[in-house]
Amino acid sequence: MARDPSPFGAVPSTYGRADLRPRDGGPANLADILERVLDKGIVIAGDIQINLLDIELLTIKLRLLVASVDRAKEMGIDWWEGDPRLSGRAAELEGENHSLRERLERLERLLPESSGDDARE
Amino acid sequence: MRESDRHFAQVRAALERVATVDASELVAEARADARAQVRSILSDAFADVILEQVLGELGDGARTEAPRPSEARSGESALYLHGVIHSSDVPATTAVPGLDGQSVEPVIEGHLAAVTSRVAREDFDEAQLRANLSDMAWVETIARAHEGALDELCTRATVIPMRMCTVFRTERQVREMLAREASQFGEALERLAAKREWGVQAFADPARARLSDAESFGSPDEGAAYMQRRREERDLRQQHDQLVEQAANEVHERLSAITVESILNPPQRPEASGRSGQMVLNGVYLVADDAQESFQHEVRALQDELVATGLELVITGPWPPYNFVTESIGAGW
Repeated sequence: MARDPSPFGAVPSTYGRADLRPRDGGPANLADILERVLDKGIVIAGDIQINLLDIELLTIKLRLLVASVDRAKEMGIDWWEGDPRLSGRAAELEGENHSLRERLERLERLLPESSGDDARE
Repeated sequence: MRESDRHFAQVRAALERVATVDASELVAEARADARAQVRSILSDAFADVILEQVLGELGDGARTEAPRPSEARSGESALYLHGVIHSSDVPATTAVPGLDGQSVEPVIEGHLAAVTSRVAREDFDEAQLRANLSDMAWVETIARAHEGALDELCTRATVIPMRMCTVFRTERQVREMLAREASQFGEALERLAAKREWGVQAFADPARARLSDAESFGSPDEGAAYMQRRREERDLRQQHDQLVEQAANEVHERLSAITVESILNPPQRPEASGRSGQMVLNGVYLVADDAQESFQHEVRALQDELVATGLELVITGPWPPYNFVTESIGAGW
């Protein structure tokens, strides 16, 4: 029943700057860092042409990795259910895409060259 | 899943036991128990699958994304922004280690200065950055270095932390951005002056959670006695959950009352927190410099008062005030 008296007694364990964490310092938990550097802080569109959407997606994914799934669903975050890459349909879609491309190429080869050009003009 | 198979077998054994003894009420209760058990197994399995798929996908990204050779010219550099400070605080940036351990470079414009690290441009162009972000080791290295630079800066100056991987090509572009956003940065610096961010997380006692989950199936009690015990355990568990929730709310309320701002973040998964106990509070607090000690004192007092609930409080910090600057600046957002 009794909580075993931890080495720190009732004192909460602390980490942070060295001057404030004399006891059980050590590096901060990665989740605590990612939760901040990837999800918080000022967002500025830098001038390097990074794909902002990719970064946002990664941020959301890491947010999900860090936060509990139940909690995410409570908060209405359920995008993964509609994301084919995460709902296990990626291979299926890629296969379908591939076979469609092949069929398209075959069809294009069957068409007389001139008619393709006409269609574009 | 072996654990869950065992539970399933136990649920079945319990059902069979109950069926020989008594009527529909017992069966219904056992069925409800079994359903709850199955739901929790499914939810765990679901979480595992999502995690695997996300991690797998991140890994695939790393393999398939190659840097575009045309952009991978060596020798060109770029500026990675850690944060923005008052230009009068520039002397405080001396010898602050940035990425790769080299010292940070301040870029000054008017009353503001951006604290930057010089990086190889090719590491942050579109294709390479995408590949790098798929590599958790790279993400961790940059995240820790970015956080470390800000951590150090925060002990010396008021800092507005930037989101990870904010990169500009040239100093001129950094200065233009500072000039363009001067009023917004100025307001933020004023708001954050002489304050630090602290995190307080509360964890439920894993031993108590186990008591209510695992031990319930172990006994060979028969029929009514067994169901009676189940009922008592369920009541106990509900009481415990309620107690823990109330305690977590109280912690947040009392800490909010003595801090400038406070925010509740979603609790972290046990895999992320690295602790066996369920995280039931993930609060962040903006604490005035002259209240740092009383804040920590209050957390200790709360921990003392909450011993009976089995809650363990963990303080982290002080952090750069990431949670208290979440605005988006500039075009594209």
